[in-house]
Amino acid sequence: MLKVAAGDNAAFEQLVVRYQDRLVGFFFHLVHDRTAAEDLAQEAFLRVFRSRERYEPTARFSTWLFRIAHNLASNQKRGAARRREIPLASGSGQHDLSFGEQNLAEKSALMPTRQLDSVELRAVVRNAIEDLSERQRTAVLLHKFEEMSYEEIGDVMGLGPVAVKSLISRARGKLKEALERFI
Amino acid sequence: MSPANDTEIFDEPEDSHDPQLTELVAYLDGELDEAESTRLERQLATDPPLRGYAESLDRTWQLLDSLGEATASGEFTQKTLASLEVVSDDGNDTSSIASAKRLSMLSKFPTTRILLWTIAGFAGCSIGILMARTGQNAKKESEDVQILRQLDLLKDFPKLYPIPDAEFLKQVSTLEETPIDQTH
Repeated sequence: MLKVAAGDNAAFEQLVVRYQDRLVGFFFHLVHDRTAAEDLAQEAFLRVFRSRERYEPTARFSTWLFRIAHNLASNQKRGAARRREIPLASGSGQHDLSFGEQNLAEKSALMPTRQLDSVELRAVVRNAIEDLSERQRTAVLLHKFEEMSYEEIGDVMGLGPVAVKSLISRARGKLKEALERFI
Repeated sequence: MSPANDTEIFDEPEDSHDPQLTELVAYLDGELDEAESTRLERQLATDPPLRGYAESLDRTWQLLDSLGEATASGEFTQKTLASLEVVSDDGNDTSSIASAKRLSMLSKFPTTRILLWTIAGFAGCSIGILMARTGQNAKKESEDVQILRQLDLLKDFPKLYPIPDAEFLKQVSTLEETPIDQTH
């Protein structure tokens, strides 16, 4: 990133290649739509590029990148709420699930003891994650898929250690309640 | 240059804070220090319901693996870098995803491809015009053949013109077939 800050565009290409899957994956788990996830990831990289000259290596680059991604997702969600568009996962729940997945999830919720196939299970887990608050969801995704420590999650989300601990424990408690009948 | 600098650090537990759940989750996440971990492990060894609860927390967490991982598409890098060119060219860093999309659409149709499509378009038009002309010629030819077939009739048209109708021709035909009585 220091090379990028010094004006090395080839270095920026390397950064994009190295982090694009992680960033697209993060947004995909939030929006459940590949195109939207790629648009958001692209915007995040653009913001990195625009801010390159002000970059200071006080934290890991990935932490800084996901902080930008988190801010972007939060802003997007706020903007969408104002416009009554719902591109990001929110309290509305199942907007990006296909009709089939939605039905399966509903049926599965009524039949807790039966064995679920992978599509059904994915739908159920998605619903459970979407039922989390936005902050809980972000913390869970960063912890589960980015394998970030509580401290890093705090850095990304602007939270202290007590808040992160509480956020994640509440999220995991809710996930347990929603999903334990499927294990 | 931290984007989070403008974000106030929040460090309060969530509502309905459950200290035991928080401790258990932190233990499962490897976030407890050694002394706390040892104490909790002793407790788990002597408390089957708590152990069952911890196992359930852990197993439901594993279910999140079913979501799988999404990766960027093949064009993502190119699209992103193309959008940066817009940023660089603008110089004022006000470009957006929309302009990047336009650029990436253009990048999908390089000069060679545009040239090939143009040639294909011309070829298609030429073939269409040729076929239309061939069809017109064939139609004209069939009309000429029909006229030639009816040439005799057309030649006799002045003689036939006074014939009033088909009934008259039938009567004439009947007269020709009837033998003429020679006795008169």
